Amino acid sequence: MKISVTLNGVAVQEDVEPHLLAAAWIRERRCLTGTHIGCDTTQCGACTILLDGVSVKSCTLLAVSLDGHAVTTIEGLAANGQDLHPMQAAFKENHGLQCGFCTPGMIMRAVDIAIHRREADEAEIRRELEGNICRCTGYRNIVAAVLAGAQAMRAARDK
Amino acid sequence: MTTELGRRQLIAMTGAGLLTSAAGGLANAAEAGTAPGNPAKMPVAMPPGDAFARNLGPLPRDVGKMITGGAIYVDDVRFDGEAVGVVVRSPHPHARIRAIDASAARGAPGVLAVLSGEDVARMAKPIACVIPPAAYGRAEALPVDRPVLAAGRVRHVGDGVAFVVAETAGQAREAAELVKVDYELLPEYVEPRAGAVGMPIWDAAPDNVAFDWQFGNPALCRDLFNRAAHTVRIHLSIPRLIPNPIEPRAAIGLHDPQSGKLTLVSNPQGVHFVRGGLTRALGLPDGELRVVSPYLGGAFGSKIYAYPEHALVLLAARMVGRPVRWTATRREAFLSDTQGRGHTTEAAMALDEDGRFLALSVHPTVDIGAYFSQLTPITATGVGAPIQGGAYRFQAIEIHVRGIFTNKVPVDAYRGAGRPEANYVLERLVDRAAAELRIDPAELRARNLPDSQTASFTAVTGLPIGGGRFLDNQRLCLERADRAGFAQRRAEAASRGRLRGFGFAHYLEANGGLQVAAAIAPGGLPHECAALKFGADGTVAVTIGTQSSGQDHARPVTLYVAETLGLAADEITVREGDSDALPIGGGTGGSKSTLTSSVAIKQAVDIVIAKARALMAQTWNVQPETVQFDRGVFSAAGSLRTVRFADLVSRYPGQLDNEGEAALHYGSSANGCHACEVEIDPETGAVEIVRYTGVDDFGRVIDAANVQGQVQGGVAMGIGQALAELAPTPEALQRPLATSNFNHALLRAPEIPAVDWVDNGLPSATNIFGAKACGESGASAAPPTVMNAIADALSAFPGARELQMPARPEDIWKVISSGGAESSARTTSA
Amino acid sequence: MKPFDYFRPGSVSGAVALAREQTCFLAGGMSLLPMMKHNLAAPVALIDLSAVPDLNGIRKTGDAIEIGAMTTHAAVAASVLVRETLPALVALVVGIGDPAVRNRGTIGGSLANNDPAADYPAGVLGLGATIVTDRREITADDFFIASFTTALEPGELITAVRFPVPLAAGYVRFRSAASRFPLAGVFVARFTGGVRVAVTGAAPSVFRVPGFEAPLAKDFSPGAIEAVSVDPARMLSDINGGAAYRAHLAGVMARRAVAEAMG
Repeated sequence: MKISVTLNGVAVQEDVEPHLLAAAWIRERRCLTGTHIGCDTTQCGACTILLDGVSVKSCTLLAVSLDGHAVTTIEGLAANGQDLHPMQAAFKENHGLQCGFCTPGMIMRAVDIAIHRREADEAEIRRELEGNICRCTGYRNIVAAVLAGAQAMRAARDK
Repeated sequence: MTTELGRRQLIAMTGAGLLTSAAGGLANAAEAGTAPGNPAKMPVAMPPGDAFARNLGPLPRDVGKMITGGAIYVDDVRFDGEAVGVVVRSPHPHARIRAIDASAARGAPGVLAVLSGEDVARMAKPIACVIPPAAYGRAEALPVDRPVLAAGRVRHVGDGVAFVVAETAGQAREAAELVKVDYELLPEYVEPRAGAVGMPIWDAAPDNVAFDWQFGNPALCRDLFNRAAHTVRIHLSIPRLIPNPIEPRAAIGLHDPQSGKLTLVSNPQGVHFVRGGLTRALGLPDGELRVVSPYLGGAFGSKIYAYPEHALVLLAARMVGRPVRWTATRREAFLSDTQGRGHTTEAAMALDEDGRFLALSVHPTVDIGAYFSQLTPITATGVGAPIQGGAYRFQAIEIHVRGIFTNKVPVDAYRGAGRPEANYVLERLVDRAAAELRIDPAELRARNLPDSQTASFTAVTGLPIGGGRFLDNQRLCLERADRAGFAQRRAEAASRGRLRGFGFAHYLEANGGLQVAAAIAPGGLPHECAALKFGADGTVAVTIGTQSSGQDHARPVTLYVAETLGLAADEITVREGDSDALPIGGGTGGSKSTLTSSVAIKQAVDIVIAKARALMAQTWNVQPETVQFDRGVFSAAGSLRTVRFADLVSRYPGQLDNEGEAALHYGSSANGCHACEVEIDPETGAVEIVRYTGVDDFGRVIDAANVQGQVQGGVAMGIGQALAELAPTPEALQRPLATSNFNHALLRAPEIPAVDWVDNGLPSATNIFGAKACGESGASAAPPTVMNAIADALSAFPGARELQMPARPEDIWKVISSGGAESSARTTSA
Repeated sequence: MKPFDYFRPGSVSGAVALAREQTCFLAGGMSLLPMMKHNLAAPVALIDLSAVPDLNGIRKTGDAIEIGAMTTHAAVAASVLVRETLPALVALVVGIGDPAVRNRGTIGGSLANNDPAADYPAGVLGLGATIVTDRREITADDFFIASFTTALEPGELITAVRFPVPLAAGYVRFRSAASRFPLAGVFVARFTGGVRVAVTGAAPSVFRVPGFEAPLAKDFSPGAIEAVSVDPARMLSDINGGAAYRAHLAGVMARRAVAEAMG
C-alpha cells in the first residue's frame, strides 16, 4: 500500500506492506536508526516518536497508519539552522543519559510533555515518563533534563 | 524480498565496501545518491550505521550523537548483502534431543543454511569457562561449558538447538518455526538442591553439585561460636535477576574469503575477552578474529562473555559467504542472557557480651544454572569473599559456597558480581543482631568498625583496605537523613494509617577485578592497554581497551593526558572497541575501568614523555636526566631553554605516538553508608521510598556528575532488586508474556527517588587519579538499605522476619495480615 | 507479524461489510498489535477504523455523555465535558497504560477486547453504560461475558458508548508494577435508583458486587462495606498476584472508590 507521510518535515511516499511496523519502516526503510527497539511488549518506550506532535510507540503502530500524518523522529527534532533542540541540549547539560539507548525515546516523550503539560512539576513529569524505561540513570537526571528543557522551550516561546 | 537491501544500496556510496554488493549493484544509476524521501533529490549523509560498516574501528562515546540519533548500536549497522540468523530454542527445561528435522526449514523461501548442534560440534568447541577448577574447590574441571548449540540434550528453556539463516528476518523466523525437534523430556531441576531424582543435569555431577568451596577459618569460627555470648542467625534469599539492559544483545559475523579473517561486530563489555573466548571455541589461529563494538546500550555484566550467538554468526558467515546478523528479541534475552545473583544463604554471627563481632559464618547455595558461563564459578565464590566481613573487625570468617546445577540459563556477573550478595547478607545480619541484642544498629556497627579511618589495614578476609571514613560515613549519613527526627515522622505517618520505617546499611567494595584475574591464573593481574596518537593538527587520539556501556571512562583519561602533557582537553578523543587497535584490553566490569585505565594511560604517557625527553636531550645536547618536565613543558636544567610538548608534536610528527600496557596491582575499596525511609500502605502492601540518602567514599571524585549518575543508577537497580525484580521460573518461561517487561517489573520514574548524595571521599594513594571506583556501589548498598527499612516498618509483625526480596506488595500484605496487628473479621460475599 | 490484507473503509457500513471470519477491526492497536506481534492473534485482514467519520468525539445526548468508539484515552482525559460530568471516568482513563499508549488506545478497542485486566470495563459496567453498535444497543450488564469475550456478534462494530451521569462516582485501582494493569480496579457509582460497583483486574472478567451494592445503597460510605468482602474463589491467581490478595484488594479499592466518590 502506498503511504504519504511528512517525515521530519519532508514529504515522503512509499509502498509498504501492511504488516510492516512503523518502527521498522523508520529504521529499515528510511534508515533513521535513532529510534530504537528495546522490548517486544510496548513497555520500554525506546521507540517513541511524535505522530502529529504527540508521542506514540512506533513499535506498536503500523507503517500504513502513518499515511496522511506527520512523523517526527529524533533526527528531525532540531529545527532548520539549529544544532540542537532545547530539549536535546537540556539532556546533554543535565547528564540525562548514560548508554544513550533509551535517550531518543525519552527526548521525544519529553518534548511532548513540555508542549502539552506545560506546568508539570517534578512529580507530574515522573508520572508522564512512566512509559519510558531507563536502566542506567535511575531517572534523576532525566527528570532534571525534562524540567530544564521545558523551561528553555517556554523561554523560547515567550521571546 | 530485497527492498530493504535495495534501499541501502541506493543510499550507500559503494566503493571501499568490506564485501561486494548483492547482485544488481546500483540498479538505477539515476537514483544514485538519492536521499530517502527527498523529492528534490538532494544527497544526504549516509546513515551512521552504514558509514561504520564501511569503516570499522574504535569509537568515542559522543553524547552529541546520542541525543541526535547518531549513536551507532549493533542493530543500526548494516552490511551489503547481509543475511539474518534466528536461533531455534528449546521450549523445555531438560530434554534429550531424539532427532532434529530441518528439511522443511532448509527448503523454505530465502533460507541459506540451517545449523544443528551436531553440525556445530564439528566446527566449534563449547565456550570455555576461564576459571580453573582449583579456584572453586574442584580437583578437575567439569565438562559444563556452554555449547554453541546444544547437541543431544537441552538443559534450559531457551537452550539453542538450531540456527536458521535466511535472506530476511521474516524468512528466517518463519523457517525457524519449521524446524522439527523430537524431544524426550527429562526430570527438571528448578530448586537448587543437591541430589538428583533420575538423570542429573550432568553425568559428571551425579548429585547436581557444581562445586563446594570453602574459604576462611572454619575451625576458629567453630571455636568462637561455641564460646560466644550471642549467636544470631539469618536465612536470606537473593533471587535470580534479569540484567535487562534496554539494548538487547546483537552480533554480526563477517568473513573475508581472501584473507580468511573473521570479524565480529557486537556489543560486548570488552572486545579482547570475547575475542579470546571465540578464538578458543572456534579453534582459530591467533590474529584471525577481530572483534569490534560500536556503542553499547547498557550491559551490567550480561555482555561480558563470548556467547553462542557470537560463534553462530561467525560460523554462518563463513558458510554462506555473506555477513550474518542476529539481534535478540527481548524474549530471547530472558531465555539466553546470563542472569544475576541466585543465592539462598544461611548465615550466622557470633558476638560477645558487649556486642563485639567475633565470627561470621556464611553458607550460600548458588543456583548456577545448567552451564558455566565464562566467569560463573568465581562470581559465586572468590569475588564476594574478600568483602564478606566488610570493614568490621571479626576474628574469623568462614564461607562455604555450594553451587548447584539447575535447568536454567547460567548465572554470572551482574552489577557487583558477588559483592552485593555478600554485603546484603552481612548488613541484614548486623541489623538482625542489633534487634536481638537490643542494641541500636548504628551503635552496634560503630562498636565494630576500625578506629583509624585513614590508615590502610587488612580485613579478616585478607583484603587490603586502603583506609576509609567508615564511622564518618555513618555519622554523616544518619545526620543527613535526619534519623533523629524519624520517630516523629513515623508517628505522623501512623496518623495517616501508614507504616513508616527507617533503615540503613554500610557497604565495602573491592574494585579492580583483581580477584578474577588472580583466579584465572595464579599471580594474575588485570591488564590494560592505551595508545596515544598525536595529530599534526593538535588533536590527540587515545585508544584504550576498556568499554563504556554508558560510563564516562574517557573523562579521567582525557583530563590526565591534558594536564600531564599540557594539551587542550577538547582536542583529546578517547576511543574504545576494536581488538585490532590494541594488542590486549581488559574491557569493563567489576568497577575496574577507572583503575585499569589509570595505569594504562600513565604507562603510555610515561613512555611518550620518555621519548620526548630523549629527543630533547639530543636536541639540546645534554644528558636526558637533566631534562626536566613539568605540566607539559620541557626545560634544560640550568638554562632558559624550554619547549612545550604541544610544539614537539608538530616538530616530530608520528614519532611520539606510543602504546602503553600495564598491570593493575592495587584495587580500591570504595565504601559508604546509605539510608532510606519507606512508607508502607498496610492495606495493599505497597512500599514507597520517601527518602534515600547516600554517603560514599570514592576517593577523589574527578567527574561528580558521572559519579552521581553511577550511584543513582546502581541504587535504582538495588531498589528494583529489593522491591520488584525476579527472574521468571522455567515454567513461566514457557509462556510468552513471562519473558517480557510486561511481567518482569522494571521500576519507572515515579518509583525511584533521587538519591541525596554526599561525597565523603578519602583520596586513594594507589592510583594516579586518587579515585576509588564507583560503578557498582549503589547495587551493593541499596538492597540491604531498603530491606532494613522495610523490616523496621514491619517490626510489629513476626512474619516480617521471613520476608525476602523481592518484597512485593502481596508479600508485605501477607506479613501484615497474618498477624501482629488486629485482623478484622469479614463476612464473605459473592 | 504474519502478513494480512489491509482495508481502510470510509464508513461504518463499509467497515462492517468487510468483516468476515478471521478479520479484525483495528482501532488504536494497543491490544491487537502486541497480540499479533506475539502470534497470539493472526487475522487474515485488518479493517482500519481510523478513516471512518463520526466514530470520534464526545458529546452530550440528553442527560447522557456519548463517547465515540474511536476516541482515545488521552482525548477523554482532556475533555472538559467528561471532566465536568464524569470525573471518575477521567480518573480511570489517566491511569490506563502509559501516556504514549493513551495517545492511541480507544474506548471501543478496549471494550471489544475485554481484557480481564483492562480498566474501561469497570467504568462501563460501573456506570451502567450502553454500548452502541452498528446494529443495536447493548447494556453493560449484558456486554461482558468472559475473558476476551463479549456479546458482540462477529463483524459487529461498536460505534459509541453512552454513559449516564451519576450523582457521584469514583474509581481506584491497584496496579501491578510490571504490567501496569490493575490487579484490582473498582468503579463505584451512585444513582438515585441505587449503587453500582464493578471490579476489574481481579477475575476472568469484570463483575459487579451485589454484596457491596446493597449496603452502599443504604449507606454510601466506606464503613458500609467494611465487613464484607469478595469471594477469593472467583478471583484470578497468576504470576501477578494470588486470588486471596486480589479479593482483599477489591475490598480495599472499593472502599477507596467510595471515599473518592464522596469527594
